[in-house]
Amino acid sequence: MIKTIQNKSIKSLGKRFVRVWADTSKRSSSLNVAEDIKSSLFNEITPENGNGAASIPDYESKLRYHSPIGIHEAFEESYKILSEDANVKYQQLEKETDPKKIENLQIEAEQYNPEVLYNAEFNHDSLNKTQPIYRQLLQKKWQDKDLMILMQRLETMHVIPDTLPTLNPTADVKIKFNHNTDPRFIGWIEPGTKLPAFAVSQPPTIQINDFENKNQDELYTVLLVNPDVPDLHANTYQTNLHYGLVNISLNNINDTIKPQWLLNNEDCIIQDYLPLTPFKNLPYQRACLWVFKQNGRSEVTKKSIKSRSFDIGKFVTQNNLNPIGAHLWRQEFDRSVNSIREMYGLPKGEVFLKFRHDEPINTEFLRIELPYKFNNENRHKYEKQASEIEAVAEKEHNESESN
Amino acid sequence: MLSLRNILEPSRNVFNTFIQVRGAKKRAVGSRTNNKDSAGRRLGPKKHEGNFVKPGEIIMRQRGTKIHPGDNVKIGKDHTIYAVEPGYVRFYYDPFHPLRKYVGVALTNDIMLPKPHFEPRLRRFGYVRVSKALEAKEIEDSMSRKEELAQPRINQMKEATIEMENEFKSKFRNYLSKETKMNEKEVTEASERLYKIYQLLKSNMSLSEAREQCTFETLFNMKLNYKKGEYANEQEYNLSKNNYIQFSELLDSKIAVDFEGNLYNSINVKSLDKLKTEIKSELENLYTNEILKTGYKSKVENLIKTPGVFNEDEQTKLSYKYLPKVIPYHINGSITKINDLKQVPKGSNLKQIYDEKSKSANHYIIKTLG
Repeated sequence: MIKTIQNKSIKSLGKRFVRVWADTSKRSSSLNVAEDIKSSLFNEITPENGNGAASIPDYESKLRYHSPIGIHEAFEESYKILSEDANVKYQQLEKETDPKKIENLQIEAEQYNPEVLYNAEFNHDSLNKTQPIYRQLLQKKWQDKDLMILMQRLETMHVIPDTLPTLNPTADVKIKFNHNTDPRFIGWIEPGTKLPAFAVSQPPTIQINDFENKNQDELYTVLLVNPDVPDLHANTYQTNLHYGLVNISLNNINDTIKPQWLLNNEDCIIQDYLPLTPFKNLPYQRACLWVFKQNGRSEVTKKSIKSRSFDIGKFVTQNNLNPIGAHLWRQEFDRSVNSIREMYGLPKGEVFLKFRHDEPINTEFLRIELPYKFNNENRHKYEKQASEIEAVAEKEHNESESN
Repeated sequence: MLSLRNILEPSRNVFNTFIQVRGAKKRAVGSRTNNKDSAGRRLGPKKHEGNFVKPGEIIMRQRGTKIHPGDNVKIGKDHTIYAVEPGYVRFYYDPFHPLRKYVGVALTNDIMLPKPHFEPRLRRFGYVRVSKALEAKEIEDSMSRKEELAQPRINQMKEATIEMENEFKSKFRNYLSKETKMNEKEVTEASERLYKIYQLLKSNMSLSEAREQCTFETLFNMKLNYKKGEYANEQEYNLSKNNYIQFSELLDSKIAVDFEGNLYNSINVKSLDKLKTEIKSELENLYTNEILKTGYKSKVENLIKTPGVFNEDEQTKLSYKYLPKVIPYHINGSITKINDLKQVPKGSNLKQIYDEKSKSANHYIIKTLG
């Protein structure tokens, strides 16, 4: 039965069948899998040839494994049909001149290629991001998990709107601290993780997967702000800048900011890295890392940033920056804070009482202008609404007493 | 005697007080369901628009959420709304939930609630700084119960790491003073660098990356020290920086360390690639020709563990391939069929293997890697 179907469809395809996905003369070689994997991906798995399924580690189980009946034939048949479709797309590509349509066609031509899908699934750390199809697959993967985690952390931990109003991420931002040798802190950090001071004592390595970037060198700005610095005069919090980088040129291949590189490119640094060093008995502090795309070269230098105290909103509007991604980690006071303060030449950390007092905010010293103050226009409307709601509250009283 | 008269009359009841009894509006006779009349629960707002409240003060008592809790207030288990920050009471609507009514506390007298959605929150700090140094130290050193209980374990771990560190460093120091002509200071510096590189290699970094990271860390710390004013002038700082770069390059060209902490003479990148292919072809050769011979295992192990050629990941992959737990059955001589079970020599590895073609299971002696 299977054989007859196979013969039929081969006849219907005739001699037109072209192995377009095997051709490496026009396509990038990164779209193919490694040779040793190819044989087990395309050939039928039988116990006789001794290789067996790659996913089964145990030798004896490997011998027992048979792939489902007819799956290999079905695979070959679909491969022919899909690669025939891809061939049509490649023919259209040759005539196309519109860059947007070209990219779409490039994606459509490769989106069902089993080799591409294999690479995206199992080698996603080393994909060639100059290929539009890989960019799209990576973006899909990011949207399905990491983006959701990031947005949840940004919202529940109030990074938005405490630092900037909101964010519509178009880039996957990852950070890690390479100096760590403790296995708990090695590798990419999940947004919102609480880290001890020694694990963040040196500047982070930042990877920016900009999915909108199409094989171009673009300029990026990175700001690390801490919106939880105590402002004792106003009895509120203020925002400090802990790390600032501008004019970072990145593209699809060169997508990582390594601190080693910055050692020789000091003009990119507008504020030297300073790890968060929270005080004893205070709630956790958030280290919010924002990534922006620049519209042209920035003129900001180290001299133009005069103090650690920083208004990120103002900076973003002044420099016409476009936020594309963010990341955050949290820190509390821990036993390594004092040594890190010493390492950075900071004075001894302050200590606070465990419990809060009832002193209200001191508006005299407030650094920010509150935009939602009463004025003559809105006061009347507001008071009318308030009395309406209070009437409902009063009603509750009256009803309860008359029962 | 327990009678109604005894209870109601103050001179007779135990508490010596009046007890209020409401007059019956309905006829008492025959009505069993209408006589459940409780006292008023004193619900309703306890604070009004614009009133000042302190943390913990009740703003509203209610059944269900007639009014929802807004900014700087919380709701209790019986839906009581109380303030958590000092400020001014506000009753308001929130555009995000148009059907709800809210009550909240505004931190200053002149602001409205709710705040516009995209504006940053206004937060009260409220913590008191400890200004006396002695008291501050005491508070800083105080531990939570959890932290206190973990101390013995933490100290134990710290001691163990320090012990391991010293062990490795002394090992490196001995090697360096024997094999190289470094002076005492250089030997200490080199052993520290090698130890750091070894630590980084354990965390899955490549050797070149680990070296780069190690250099960066040292230079970064030098920069911090320069900012702190530990160098007399910029020249001195630059000099020590350059010295370290030169020293590290010289060390790297001579000695390297692998992920198990073994020192070996550095291999340059070109010859490393060559060596890798050579060893791999030799392994392949051994696998095809000598897998059944004795001494195969140790030969392959030595080849795979040639210092500095393969990293941890590559080594596990190679041993999986060339040192299989079971020698594949299709290799001639890996299994020998047994017809009579009584004639099996003692201590041999016997196994029943199912043959698919003949649909029968037979006993075989299986050879292991020697």
